Amino acid sequence: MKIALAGEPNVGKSCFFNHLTGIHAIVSNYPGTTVELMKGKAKFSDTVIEIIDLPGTYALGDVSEDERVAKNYLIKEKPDVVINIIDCTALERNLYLTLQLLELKIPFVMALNFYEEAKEKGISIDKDKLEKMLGIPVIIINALSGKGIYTSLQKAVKLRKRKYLEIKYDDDVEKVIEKIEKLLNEIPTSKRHTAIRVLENDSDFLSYVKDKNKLEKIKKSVKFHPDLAMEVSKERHGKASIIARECSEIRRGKIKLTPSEHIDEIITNPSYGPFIVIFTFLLMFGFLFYFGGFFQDKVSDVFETKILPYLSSYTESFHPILQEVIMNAVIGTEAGLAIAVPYIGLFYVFLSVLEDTGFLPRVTFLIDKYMHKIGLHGKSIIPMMLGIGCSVPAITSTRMLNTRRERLITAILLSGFIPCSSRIAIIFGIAGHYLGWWAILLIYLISLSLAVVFGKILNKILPGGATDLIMELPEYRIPLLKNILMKTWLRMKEFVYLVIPLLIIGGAVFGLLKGLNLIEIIVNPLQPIVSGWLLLPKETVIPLIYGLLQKDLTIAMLMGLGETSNISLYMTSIQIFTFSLVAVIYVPCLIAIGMLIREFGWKEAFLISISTIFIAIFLGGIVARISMIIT
Amino acid sequence: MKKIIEDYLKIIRSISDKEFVKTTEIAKKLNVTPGNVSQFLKKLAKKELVTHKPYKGVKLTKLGRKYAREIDEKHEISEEFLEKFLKVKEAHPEAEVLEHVVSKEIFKKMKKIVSLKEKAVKLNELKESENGEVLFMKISNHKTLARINAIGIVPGERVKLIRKIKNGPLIVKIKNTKISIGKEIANNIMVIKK
Repeated sequence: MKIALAGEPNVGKSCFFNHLTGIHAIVSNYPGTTVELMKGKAKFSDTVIEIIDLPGTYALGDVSEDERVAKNYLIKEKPDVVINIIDCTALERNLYLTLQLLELKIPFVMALNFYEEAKEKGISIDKDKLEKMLGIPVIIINALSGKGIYTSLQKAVKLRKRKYLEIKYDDDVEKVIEKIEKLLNEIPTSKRHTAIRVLENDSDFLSYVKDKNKLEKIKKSVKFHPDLAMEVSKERHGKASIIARECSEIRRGKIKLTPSEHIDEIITNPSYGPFIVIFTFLLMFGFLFYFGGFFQDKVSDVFETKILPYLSSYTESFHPILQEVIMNAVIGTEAGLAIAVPYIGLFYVFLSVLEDTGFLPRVTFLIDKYMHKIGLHGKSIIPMMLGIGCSVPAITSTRMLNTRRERLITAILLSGFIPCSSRIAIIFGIAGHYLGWWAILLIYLISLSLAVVFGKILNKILPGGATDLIMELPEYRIPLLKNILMKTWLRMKEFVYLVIPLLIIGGAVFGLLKGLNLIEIIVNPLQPIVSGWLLLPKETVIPLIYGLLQKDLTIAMLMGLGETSNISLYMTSIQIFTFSLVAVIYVPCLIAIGMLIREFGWKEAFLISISTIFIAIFLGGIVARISMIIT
Repeated sequence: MKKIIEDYLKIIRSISDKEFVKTTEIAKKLNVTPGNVSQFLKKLAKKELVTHKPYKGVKLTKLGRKYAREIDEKHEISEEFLEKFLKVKEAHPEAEVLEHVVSKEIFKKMKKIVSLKEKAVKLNELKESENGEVLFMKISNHKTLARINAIGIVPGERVKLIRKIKNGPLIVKIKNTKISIGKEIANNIMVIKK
């Protein structure tokens, strides 16, 4: 048996899901998309039920990838029952999706979440009336405490066929619906629903019609009424409003400001809101470097004092090439476990907290004005913040943006100029460690200026115009530790399974090159660029090339080159700075390039990679010369 | 008969509101012979809607001008009403008919609704903590419109402006939910202050 959870964003769906399935959930991408579907299993009496957490959406249209995935899942995979989770504090708006679900004619039950919270706000909901009007079972739940969740499951499993509410539209609309219905034949879902969705200009439903003549006819009948889409949506909102009014009572009179409103008064205030955002970012960096550094030291310590010495004596009897391969593979592992995992993990914990408290949407609001200057809008800050963790999921997450143009600008900026945690490790671990805080600040300043300059240029040269922000600001909520940790793990998982093996392989290959004395062959042809232009030791080309694979390898290889962890012994301060800057700016890593190819195509990925490499080298040489003059 | 009188008055007014208008000109516009025209003009003169002078043509009297203006207004209001509220694509010919037959009461109602539209302001023009009612949206992109609709912004909905950043986005409360809306979109949502 399959049960799908549907609901708007921020209604407590994932909380509900976690209660049912625990941490054994599997995240899988919906075929052909990058939208994640959470799947888990729950046991009910003797049957095992598969639970699917659909992406939270306001409607089942074709506006975003999320909506399409939720919709296509419901239509094509046909879950046995849907549990529609509702936020009682915004019943009316939530009912919009409910009415669309009703039109889909899938059996479903409704779970009312935040029931007590609504009561505190003076909204009491008549559950029985709602049940009667919609024709579906309604259960009051509390997703946080778990109350009512089991009952909903029980009701869902035992659901019998009922007579659901059917929305009647305006006569004119009904006429067109009927006309289109007649033109439809073999479709995988309700004809009426498809006809309605066609009226709403949903391109996915038009694709169900295979016959070209019929398609033309349908398109014609829709074209004749240009505002039908708005009519349909208005009618549905109207119905939702009637039901909500009938089924809930709102206590009028002076409504006290909730704590959430008080917080919002301060945070969204244009005078101090931006400072709170900046402070939060600083706090995050502080948190990252204090705790990240702590874990880095601990893990490195284990490797340096225990694992490596033991391994080196153990492999002494091996062939020297084999020994190099093994040793370097382990050094690669160390770079991953000691540097990447702590920073990325901690960053994701922080990000999940920002997300679950409801702070992130406020950041998009406050920053919107500035993002418009580079042809983007507030929402682009979310992929960019993800980019502070890892560019790979960040590039994927640009899918949340509206147009390809916006996605491309965001992806270019974050792959070139928003240092991900691997690059942060270079900034802090190399530049910061050997040169001091000013080097960190300077590299960030250069990156930020480049982002602004290139944002402006891209905004000018890319065709098309900017779209605009529209986003719900959910109530502030205290995040649950369990949810935070689960989210972090789900985000980390991909990184751990993908990057760590790469680091091991990368290390082994480096060992092989070293063992076969092939390093010189690679180093010498590139000497003019590395020593001539960048004024760096010629061997540093190896860590830079490795950086193309994975930036975490850069540090490992740099240390491997000098056979010491004290870089300052064989590089001057200027060289360390130039090296760090170059390593930070050029394209993040092979996986990110792969992701750029997948999301934007070969040409774009190639151009982005080449131009960031060029910018990095160009700038590196300039900076090296300027610093020579100054010092 | 009423229709013909009204059409004549309209045409005279369209040529000149205050000056004498030549019979031949009217005939050209109506596509009839000048003889027919001058015959009919005599009838209008009898009703004191025009003054008729041989060789000079006709001129609207005060009464005639008032009548003609009324018809023109009925046409304009009907056409606007049909176009913007009933979404009739070719509203002009419909208005040509309506201007002659629309009752006073209906005309008044249409006028009120149409003039309400004139009172509509951009969502951006509300002040913080002011209320408004969404009247219509000037957004043609279907995806943007669908997004706005789904989140709850449809005509007739009440909104309260919570926060506004100068030259930037704003936050509104709609259906008990806070939504941030960018400047461009907000510029194209028209509301009536409440």
